[in-house]
Amino acid sequence: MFEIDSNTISVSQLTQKIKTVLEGDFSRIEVVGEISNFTAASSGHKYFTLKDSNAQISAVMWKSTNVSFPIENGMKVNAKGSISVYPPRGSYQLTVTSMRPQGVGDLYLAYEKLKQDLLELGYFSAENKKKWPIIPQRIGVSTSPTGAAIQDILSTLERRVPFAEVYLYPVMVQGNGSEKEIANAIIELDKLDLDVIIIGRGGGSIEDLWSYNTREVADAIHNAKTPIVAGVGHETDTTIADLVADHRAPTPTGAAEIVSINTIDIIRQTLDENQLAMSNLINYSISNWKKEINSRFDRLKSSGIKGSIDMIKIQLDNSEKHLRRQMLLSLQNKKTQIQNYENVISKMNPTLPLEKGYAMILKNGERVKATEILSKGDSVKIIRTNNENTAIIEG
Amino acid sequence: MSKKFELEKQMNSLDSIISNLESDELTLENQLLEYENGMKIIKECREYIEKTEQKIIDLSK
Repeated sequence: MFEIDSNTISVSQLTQKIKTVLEGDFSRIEVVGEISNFTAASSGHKYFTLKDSNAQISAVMWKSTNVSFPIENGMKVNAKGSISVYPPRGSYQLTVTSMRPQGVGDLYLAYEKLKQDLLELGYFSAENKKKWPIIPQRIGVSTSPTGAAIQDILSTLERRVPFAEVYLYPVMVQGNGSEKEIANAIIELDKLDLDVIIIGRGGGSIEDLWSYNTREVADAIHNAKTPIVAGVGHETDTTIADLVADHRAPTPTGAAEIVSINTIDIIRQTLDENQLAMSNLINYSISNWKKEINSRFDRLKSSGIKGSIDMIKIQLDNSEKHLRRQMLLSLQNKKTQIQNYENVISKMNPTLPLEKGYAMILKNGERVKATEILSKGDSVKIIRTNNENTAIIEG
Repeated sequence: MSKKFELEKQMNSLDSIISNLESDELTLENQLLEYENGMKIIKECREYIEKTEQKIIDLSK
């Protein structure tokens, strides 16, 4: 154990006193320095050292703190924040709450002013954003002829939309006069009646990207009739060109990807789907028509003609019955008539008197009529019922 | 089917033939004529549908 008298204090007490003094006196400070040992931890916190030629101080920027430019070693910055002391290590550091690049401070202000001006002019408004065709076939590309960006864009397009024609307009993407080149490339590509134009460049410092923050480039993009997709720098970089463009892609590759969103495979698949849908529709229509025809066929079969034929059949049957009855009736009449004749005729039978004992006289084989006069010597035959005699008339 | 065959038109004429027959106002002779005509149209419609189906199959190949 350490002995403690009235003039001595513990390390903890000392550190606590230092903490109180430092954190009290340096709660709101702005420090100018150069960044070194920059580390972006996977937790999202950023650790670095701020230094000048004679001194350095550790600094931390918590995940929740945003800066609108990429932090790089060697960069001179204005950092605002406060000093905090960490007793377990006896260390102190600067907790940065906001930071802006030093030196480009004027550019930074210029950026903000241009952004505000263009916003008021409607350069960013959603209703001015043009759409490019679902399947672009003529694609303009303007970027640096060297570097990864152009390779990334071209290989992405070649892989995904090999049928598309690509019009390349290489430009200087940084340095003096590069903004003129970029703007001019946009104006020239716009004359080619292309489906879409990709502009962009790979990542770099805020100064490297600066040409894309100029009024000249903004005007060229805004005035172009052709839809423009911008992919400038990394995802965290938002240039004026990105804001004015019809679509903002995070990177040059991202720009090529969004332009070729309907890859040749998707186009094929869509065609297949459309073909299937079409044949489903027409097959459905055909089966419907078949049903319609069949129902008419059934109705036609059971329509009036069947009914009237049945009716006529019944009428014919009735007529036939009637006819037959009529025939039978008249036949019966005829029969009765014949019977009557028979009765009459049978009464006229000349042999009938013979049965009552009368005799019939034949002369020369013929019956002698009641009015006929027989003469003496005539030979006659006398016929009776059961007897026949020959006689000579004597007087 | 020398003229351009129009299924819809033919179906409409079928409908009027059927309603004529169903109205029972025709003589048997005229009914028979209508019936014959109706059956002829049905046959044509079926042939047309079969042809169309075959054409669809051919086109889908």
